[in-house]
Amino acid sequence: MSIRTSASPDGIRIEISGRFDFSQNDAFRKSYQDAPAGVKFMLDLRRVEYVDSSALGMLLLLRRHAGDRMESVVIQNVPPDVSRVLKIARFDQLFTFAGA
Amino acid sequence: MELPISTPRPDPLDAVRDAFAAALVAQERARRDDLAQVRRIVSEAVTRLGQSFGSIQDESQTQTRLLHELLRHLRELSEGSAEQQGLSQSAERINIILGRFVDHLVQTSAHSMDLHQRLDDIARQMKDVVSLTAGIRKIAMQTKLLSLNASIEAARAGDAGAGFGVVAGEVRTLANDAGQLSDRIGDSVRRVDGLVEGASSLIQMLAATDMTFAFDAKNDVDLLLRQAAETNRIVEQGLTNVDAITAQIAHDVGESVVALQFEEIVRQRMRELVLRQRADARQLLLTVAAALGAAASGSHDDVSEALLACDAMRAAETPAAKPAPELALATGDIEMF
Repeated sequence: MSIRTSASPDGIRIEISGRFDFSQNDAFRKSYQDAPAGVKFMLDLRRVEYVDSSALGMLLLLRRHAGDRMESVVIQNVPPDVSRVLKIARFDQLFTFAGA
Repeated sequence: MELPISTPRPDPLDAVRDAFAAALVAQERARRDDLAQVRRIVSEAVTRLGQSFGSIQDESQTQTRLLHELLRHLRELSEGSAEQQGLSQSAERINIILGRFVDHLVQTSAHSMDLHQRLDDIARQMKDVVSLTAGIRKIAMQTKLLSLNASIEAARAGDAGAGFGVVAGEVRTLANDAGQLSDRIGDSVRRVDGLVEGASSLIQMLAATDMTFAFDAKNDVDLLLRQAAETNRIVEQGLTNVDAITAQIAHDVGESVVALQFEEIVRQRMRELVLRQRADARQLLLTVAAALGAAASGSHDDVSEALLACDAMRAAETPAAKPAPELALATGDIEMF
């Protein structure tokens, strides 16, 4: 499991792999806490194998940090199992989802 | 039956003719009785059939009513009624409750993660405090060394330095106290650190829940909804089929009852046959009597004429010469006998 952060012209790109759970809390928070206000985040979940409720909590905290706007966090490449969890939590009404 | 029986003559031909006529009369009476019996049997059968068809229709309607009631209950079970919830409503309510529960769970997780981050910040601050106490401890050590030097200088100065020596001793005591205090602060901070770690573990338990239960529950509810919809579909189809079958039974019974009205035609036809048989027998008897008379008197022409008459009668009875009676009855309103 790892979290990789890189800057792109559109904003900050965060790539998560493995289990996205409580143990990623520190690394995930560090990936966004120093970002300037108003910046857009792109989350790539392509390599995520598992999410639990703490991952959903972390996503909500990121959304709050980014100004509580739907378009400020874009979630990309969501695997089917992860997608089911996000859908049940109705995250499609809170985040923007994209294929790539 | 009236037969041309003339004044008795001692003629053997007359005797033959009379015997023949008597035999015909007896035969006709017997056939008439037979026909009457057939008529009675047919009539009774038709009456019973009519009653049976009436019963069939009544029973079919009762059956339809019962089936409607049964299917209505089934639909209420699935869709619900004014008084109680059906399967669909229950499933939808479960879905809503599940949604709320998941929302709550996710919010709790978010708050817990937030709390965990704040505790991390506290732990970091505590580490700063520990490094600050190290600074204090260093200052205390230096102060202690300084006071030792001051004591030595005071002793060297003799009586003049005695007061200074007391002050140097006090400063050493203060430096020792400061060092011990910084040690105690360090101990306290480490204890707080342990407590923060314990709180973090508790928060992790609060924040991290496996979400599999949620979509398992959702799948179950969706299945329930699909089953309810399927039940509704089957009930609707069942009602349609039952109505169609009932209508078909009513139609068939109507047709059968109409067909039973052919009995009236049969009865008429039989009456005609009896009358005709009577006329034919009379005609045959007259012809035979004439032929016998002609044969007795030796008139060949008359005999030929009588034979021709017989041929004509036979020809009239061949199947080809008689058109089959048409069985035509207007199908209309059902009339019971």
